[in-house]
Amino acid sequence: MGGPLCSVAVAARTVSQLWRKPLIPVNHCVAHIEMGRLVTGASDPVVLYVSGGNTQVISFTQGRYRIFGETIDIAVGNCLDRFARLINLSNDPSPGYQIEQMAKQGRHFIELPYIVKGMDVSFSGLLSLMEEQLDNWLTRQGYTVADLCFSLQETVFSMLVEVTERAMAHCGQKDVLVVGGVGCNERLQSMMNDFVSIMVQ
Amino acid sequence: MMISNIRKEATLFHQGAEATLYIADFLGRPSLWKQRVVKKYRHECLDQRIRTRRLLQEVRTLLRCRKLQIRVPAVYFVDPEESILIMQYISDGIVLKNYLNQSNGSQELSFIATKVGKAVAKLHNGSIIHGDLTTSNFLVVTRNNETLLYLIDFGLSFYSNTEEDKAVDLCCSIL
Repeated sequence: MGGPLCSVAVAARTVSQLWRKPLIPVNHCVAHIEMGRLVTGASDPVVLYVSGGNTQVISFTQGRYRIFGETIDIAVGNCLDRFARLINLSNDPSPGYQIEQMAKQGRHFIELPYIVKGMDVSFSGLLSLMEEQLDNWLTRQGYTVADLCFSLQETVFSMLVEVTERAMAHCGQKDVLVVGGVGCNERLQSMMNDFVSIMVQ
Repeated sequence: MMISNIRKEATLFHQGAEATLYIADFLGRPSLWKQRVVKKYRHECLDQRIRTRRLLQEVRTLLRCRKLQIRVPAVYFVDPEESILIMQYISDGIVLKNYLNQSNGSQELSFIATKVGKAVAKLHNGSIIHGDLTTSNFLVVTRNNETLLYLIDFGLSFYSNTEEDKAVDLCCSIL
């Protein structure tokens, strides 16, 4: 993380001096949420913040953003990226996008560890198992890479939607805002959509 | 089976995130029916597996808690095919979250916090990890000037005796 952050900090300072604008430090996570709120106009949503570095379920209660659930080990985006590397997917435009495209061809669902602890989630055990079993699944069990991508997406996104649902039930909120890089995934979006539309009924 | 007949007379009690709760009569006793609902957003296989696994785990833990003399609702009947759990209805119970909102004074808070701590200690000493310790999952009952604390919702529970699992159970709790 250090390298890229350093480069961006230099670029930001440069731009600020070039244009004589003040450089204002902003909390990364709050910036994600506030940008999302600005664009969507959601007033008081439960926020699912999912990216390569973070996985959190956040709600604004009693005057501040509070983390109701989060990953207890690696972020969901990290899990997806590392799996993409295991199966030699391209990084262009992003490993998550490649997994998403692959998953569309998946037909068989493989049971993977589904770890939800209250409102928290865990992905590292799931990734280890996939590392360990990859060869077995592909060569001996006859599953395809697409099946693996499909099962991985179904499992991790179900976990995310479930913890979001729990947080919403706990806080009594009605809106959801998904922010962060993994939020681009259309399968996650459609699952969240299915869940919210059931709730509206 | 009679289950479907009785369910017709059930009244909706609460729509939770994971299950719908009904109140109905079961062999002459007022009982709480917990039906885990199908989640359309999940893959069918995954959904079925999760519902069955959690129902069975909940029943196992409820029974084990009773053996350990931890206050939990009594189990009356289980139907894994329909994902239904029928258990004792604690009619005078108040969810801890609401109880805390109504309560006043730090003395009362520390009294109830001690109760919560002792209940969780008993659970952990019995190698049970609750998995979802929130203020929504405790019921406070006041009977004959005595305050009792019931633990509910064991769908995410499991057995373990390691410090790590117990610590995660506590740190993941929203209390």
